[in-house]
Amino acid sequence: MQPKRLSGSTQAPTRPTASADSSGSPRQWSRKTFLQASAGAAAIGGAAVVGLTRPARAFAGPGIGLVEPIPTTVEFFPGVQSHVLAPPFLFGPDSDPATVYNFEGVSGLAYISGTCEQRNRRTGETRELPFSFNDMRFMKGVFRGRDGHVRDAAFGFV
Amino acid sequence: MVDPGDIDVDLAAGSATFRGRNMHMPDFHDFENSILGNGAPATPAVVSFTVRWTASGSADHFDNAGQQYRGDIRIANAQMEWTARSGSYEYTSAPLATSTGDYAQLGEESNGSFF
Repeated sequence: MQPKRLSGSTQAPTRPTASADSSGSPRQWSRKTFLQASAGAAAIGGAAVVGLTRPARAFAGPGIGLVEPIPTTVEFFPGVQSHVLAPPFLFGPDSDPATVYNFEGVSGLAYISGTCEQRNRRTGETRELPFSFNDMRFMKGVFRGRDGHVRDAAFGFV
Repeated sequence: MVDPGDIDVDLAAGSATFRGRNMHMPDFHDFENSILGNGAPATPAVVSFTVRWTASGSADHFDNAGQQYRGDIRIANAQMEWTARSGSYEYTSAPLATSTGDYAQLGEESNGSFF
């Protein structure tokens, strides 16, 4: 996986960084651990919020209307550049958690795990499933659009 | 974009809440399919969620010229509860308090032309 800017210059990968668990105590995570956890979340598929969303839409280069995506990209799969970073695991704690470029405001990022109940609406059958490392983010503030105008806006990344 | 009213932030208190209600979105089933679109066709889905951040400690200042990103970020805890409907299945998470924040952060930032 190579982080790249659209200019083509390659950004140096950063070190694995410390994070905190729910109790606030430091815990070491490596990039490999993060990707393994992410893959595990994806494997749950429809059971998890991860499986119910399309990060590619938020990652996509063209942006949403007047919104520019961040230019820094990650190649989760060969040949496909995704405009999203994952601080602190991918490229360090000083990486931008926002997916919107030319943005100023408040951002929140969280990776959250837990359990859920899956219920078949036809048969009524239920089972408990895990969800892992659900990536939930918001951005609230102002952004400068492709037309140069600055607007108030709020964005979600789920 | 989302309704600004769905996001409540009190940076002084170190708290934020992000709510989604009946958000229509495709269920791509897995991460790879969501990126590459090389698997089963997406299923229409409806999702609702509440995510709550509680920050602790002082803010770390980051200044990343390579990414044109500057931030004053506090480590936080975050928890979530959610429901979803996709095809024949409904999903209901355990209550918010039972979820675990693997990592979370909350803060102010600027990037790009605001850097």
